[in-house]
Amino acid sequence: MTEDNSSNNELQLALLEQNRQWLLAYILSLTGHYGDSEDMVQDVLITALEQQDRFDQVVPVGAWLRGIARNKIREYWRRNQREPVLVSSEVLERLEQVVANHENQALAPDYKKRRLQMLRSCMERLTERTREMLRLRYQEGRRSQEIGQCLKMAVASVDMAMSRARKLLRACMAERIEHVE
Amino acid sequence: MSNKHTHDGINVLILRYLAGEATENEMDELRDLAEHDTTVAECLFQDACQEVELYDYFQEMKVSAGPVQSGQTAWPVKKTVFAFAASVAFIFGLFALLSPDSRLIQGNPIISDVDSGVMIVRRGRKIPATENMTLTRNDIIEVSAAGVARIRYLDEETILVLQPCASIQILSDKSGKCIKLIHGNIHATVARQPVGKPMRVLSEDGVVEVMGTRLVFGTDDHVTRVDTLEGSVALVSEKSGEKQVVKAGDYAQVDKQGILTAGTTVPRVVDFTLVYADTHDPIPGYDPVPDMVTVDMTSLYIKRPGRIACRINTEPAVIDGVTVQWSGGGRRVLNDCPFIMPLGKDNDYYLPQDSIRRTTGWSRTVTPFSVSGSNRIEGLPRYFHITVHAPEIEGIGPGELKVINGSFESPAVTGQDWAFRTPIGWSATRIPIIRAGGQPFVGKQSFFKQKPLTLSQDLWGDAEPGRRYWLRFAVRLIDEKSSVVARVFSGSEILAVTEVHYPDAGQWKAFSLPFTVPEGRQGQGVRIAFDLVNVELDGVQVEHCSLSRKNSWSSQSTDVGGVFE
Repeated sequence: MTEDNSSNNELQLALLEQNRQWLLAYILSLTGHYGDSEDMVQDVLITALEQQDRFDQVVPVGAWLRGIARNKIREYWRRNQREPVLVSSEVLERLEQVVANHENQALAPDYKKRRLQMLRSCMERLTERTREMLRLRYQEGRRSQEIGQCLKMAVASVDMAMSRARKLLRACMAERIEHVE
Repeated sequence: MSNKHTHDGINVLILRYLAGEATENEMDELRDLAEHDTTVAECLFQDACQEVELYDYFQEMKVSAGPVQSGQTAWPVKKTVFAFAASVAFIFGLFALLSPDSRLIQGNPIISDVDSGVMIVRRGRKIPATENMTLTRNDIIEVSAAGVARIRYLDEETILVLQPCASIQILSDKSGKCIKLIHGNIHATVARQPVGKPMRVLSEDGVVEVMGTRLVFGTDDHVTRVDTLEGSVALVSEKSGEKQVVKAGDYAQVDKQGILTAGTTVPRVVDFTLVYADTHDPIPGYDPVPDMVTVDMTSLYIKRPGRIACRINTEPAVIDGVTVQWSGGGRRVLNDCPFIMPLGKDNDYYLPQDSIRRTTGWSRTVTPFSVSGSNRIEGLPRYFHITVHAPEIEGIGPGELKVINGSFESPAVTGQDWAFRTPIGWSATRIPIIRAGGQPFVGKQSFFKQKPLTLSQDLWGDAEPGRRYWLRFAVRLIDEKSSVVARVFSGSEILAVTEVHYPDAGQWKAFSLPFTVPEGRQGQGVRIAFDLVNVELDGVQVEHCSLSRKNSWSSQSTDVGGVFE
């Protein structure tokens, strides 16, 4: 292995790693299952690495990765014998546009770090109980029913509280982005 | 949006879908909504982005805060306690004290500089400390064994440096600055305080009131001690009420019985610890490192070449500084505790490669001092010598290369000037590792899965029999379920194996697994396999030593074959 090849590979790996977050969100929105989506992201990146010689540099990297992902997702739905939620070509086209727009922002070198910092400070705006609810879901992977048992809440209340907390976080982060810009 | 659904209703539906909790009926509903309104797809993606961010955020928090016991929640659901606290607050009219504004405390302390192992305990929850984080009353700041934290008061030039293992609580209020030292040492530079509002530093056993000075305050299970570096302070015993004035260069201490003693601070160098220069973490086996020791570089894992240094441990643990004198006459004063002594020259931490080629030893004379300027009190100088040894000279066969008086000589090439690259100066190549079934994974990976995941890959097809290699990797265990087993195979024969289990959770740990390919296995290949449960894996490398001619440092990179498809 020559040094040139080695550094080229590392560059490719870094590029692919940079695309992980939006790719995961894209696949998640089409599968609705976090664990399966994580596995699929890995598979997509692997395929991309294996097929890097076939990569046409005219096509943006994101579009190329989405193309690989779409094939994997089709295979996923076929294997699970279930029908996807987003079906019509019009809806899928709309999703593609949204993802393409988002993907450009996400490629900024410190994008993830900045977002995490903002999220950290926005978390302070939530009540302790709401933070705990989010922690149980995203750190411990608990389902709504289990969270309800822990916090003595009905499942529907957990879902609603979770939705409102996320709305608040979204608003807070949007506010901060606006402030920075 | 559909008239049948409110915005909140649609959001909940999307969240249930993304959490994998949607029923068949809910999936039908969502499908129906998406078909009639393309903005649903947009919402779905934005929510998915947030879902990913929240997972990343909380997984990062989990790693930083350490494991939470099963069934235990960080939020104590004890209504009676809350009810009681609320009544007390109501009765005594303390609601105002709990309002966010009143939490802004005298001097506005913030964390100005922090290492990764520093945590804040705030209202019962542990959160990682970050730079510019505002501290509030009752916050507890805990520093890890290898960390340091600086607290700065925004309104003035008061700085507190928390030494490794220190733990303090912020108790300041409108009446003045106050901190409680729970454990360890702090180095305080206190700006002049307003009249009638001295800064108070207290422990279980004693308290000092400071108007403006520099001091070191420390406490452990036996005594509380103050060493004054500038000006003077008074130490008061909590038990007896006795008071001792401590001038610059002096110390006073109070024990558990409340007995005060005092004297002049004469610092001394206790010992030295070999540390990773990037993190200041002690290198296992070299804490402390004995004087005149020979360090086997091949036994160390250094992620970045050459990054080792030496920590000078003094008594008291925090003093004003140390002077380090090179054997060649160079001199440098280190003022920031912990005192990290570079092993290389030119003020960096790199091992000088030239020195490796000619000699393997470094000598330093270290002199501790407790007070700067004309009142300077120096301790006894201590001489320290370290030898770097690289016994594994692979590539030209045993016995052909010898280390004589710190120089490398080879009978096969007598008279030639040879350069030698130890593994510490090695530029290792990262090798893509392939999952069983032929799929590689990329870069650093998290395996937050509860079932074992096995990764394996044929590394190369032409490993050289008899030559010694190292499989190096770094892992971070997440919780008590985490484990790693690494194996190296030649055919069905296991050449090397290592296992890593809890309780080493939360920190990156590096491992180096040596193996030798058996004779007669030419061209048969070697395979490495990892069994990973709930861990992160990074920096997987295979390395070996070899020789290169003078002036060709970069031409010999790791040569482990080329079957990495």
